[in-house]
Amino acid sequence: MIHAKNLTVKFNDLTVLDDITFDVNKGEIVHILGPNGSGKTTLIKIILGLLKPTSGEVLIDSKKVGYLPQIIKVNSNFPTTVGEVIYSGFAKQYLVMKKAQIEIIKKWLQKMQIPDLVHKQFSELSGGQRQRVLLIRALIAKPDLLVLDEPTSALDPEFRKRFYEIMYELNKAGMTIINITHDLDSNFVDCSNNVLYLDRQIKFYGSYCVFQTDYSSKGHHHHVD
Amino acid sequence: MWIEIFSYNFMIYAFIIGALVAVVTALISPFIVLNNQSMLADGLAHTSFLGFVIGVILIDQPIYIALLIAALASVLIKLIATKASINNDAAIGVVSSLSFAIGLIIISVTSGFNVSIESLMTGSLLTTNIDDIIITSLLALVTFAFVIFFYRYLYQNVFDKENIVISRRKSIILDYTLSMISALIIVVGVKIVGALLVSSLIIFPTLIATQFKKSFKTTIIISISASLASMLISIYISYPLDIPASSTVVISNAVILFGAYVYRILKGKFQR
Repeated sequence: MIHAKNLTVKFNDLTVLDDITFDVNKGEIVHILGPNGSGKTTLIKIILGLLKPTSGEVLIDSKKVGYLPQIIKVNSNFPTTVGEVIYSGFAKQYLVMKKAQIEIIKKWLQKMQIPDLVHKQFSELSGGQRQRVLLIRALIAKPDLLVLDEPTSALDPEFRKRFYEIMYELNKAGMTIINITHDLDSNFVDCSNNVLYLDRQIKFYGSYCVFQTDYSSKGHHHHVD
Repeated sequence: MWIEIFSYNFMIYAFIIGALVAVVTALISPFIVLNNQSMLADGLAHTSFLGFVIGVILIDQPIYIALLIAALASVLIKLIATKASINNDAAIGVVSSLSFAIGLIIISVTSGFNVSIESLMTGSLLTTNIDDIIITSLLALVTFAFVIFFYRYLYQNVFDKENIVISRRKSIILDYTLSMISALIIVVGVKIVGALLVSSLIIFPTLIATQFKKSFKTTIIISISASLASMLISIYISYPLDIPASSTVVISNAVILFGAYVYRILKGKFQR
């Protein structure tokens, strides 16, 4: 699915990513961990095509990428409804929304436990609600690769569980998931998940369980704020 | 006096062209203002000033030259902003002040420059002719077609640019087309309300419409309605009162904005 080879990113004299090579196979869940400034966001930007590496290359074999940004930089006065925001995720968009599409939006809102928000102003939502709306936007076109940037940071604890349930459900259906995170919640992560620990270079890449026993015990704490 | 206005041909023309310009500026207004490009309107207005100056020297209908130069300038501004990694506002500043300066020098060295600079600055709504109406109508048609056809793209382009790149729908051509259409609209606007005031036609409608906090689509509709209303009212009252229509438009827009703002505040208070 993702084939990254000798990726290096430099901003002037600062090396943000230093000769990184890794593969992500179809259907995997990969959590990218690392301290602040370790190049996590830079790596994601390259995968998404928002940034070109200084050298090296990334090949992505995906028909449709879904992306959940960390904090969307939306002008707080931007006039738009939840329905309109989600609609912009559809692969096929029309001047007037189709009935069937509106039904799909409503179903997703139900699934994310925020029904009745279709006509609400996006700017009037709480952080957690916004994040769920943007997650629906990322998922509505049925991507085969989903990239999440700190998805659980704004979510309330009750929804967090539901969030992971939805992720596993999608993953079972074949979706590859890349998840940048600060706090990997051991309640919801099992050995089938992979961890890529990044600090300008790849310090660890493998199963979560190996990471738990092997890496954490060497005194490296992966929980960073 | 308040009815005989409609018996003058030039007043009828003024109403028609005023309405067209008000609608078309309000239509593109959200895509510019919410994209933090309000300065673009101002910059392009200065550039079309140069266009009109050169046009007056070369041909009978300066508007054609002005349209051409403004279109070129809009491309130039985009190019400078993207290629030279200068930020957008600075790029606009460079191009607009440069063209304004060149325009003023041309005027000073050309003997017998017979168009008053004042009419370029503050517009000349009452001297529009049938040609102006045809050009403006065509432009309105193109703009409506463009916005309707690419509505969803344009929406995403203001709401969340990154997502357009990620979903691989990014189109540089559409970006340039939008800025070129804006340039042409502004030229027509300069003819009506003048280079100094034209940006208000772009900026006010969105500011007014966003006070109501509706969907993006409804915001565009409110924006057009407010713009049209203020234009028609202004033309209607400015002639008998013998005040410039262009300045009246700006003031009536400001009054509507204030009203909309008060409405928003009061609504917020009563809902609590």
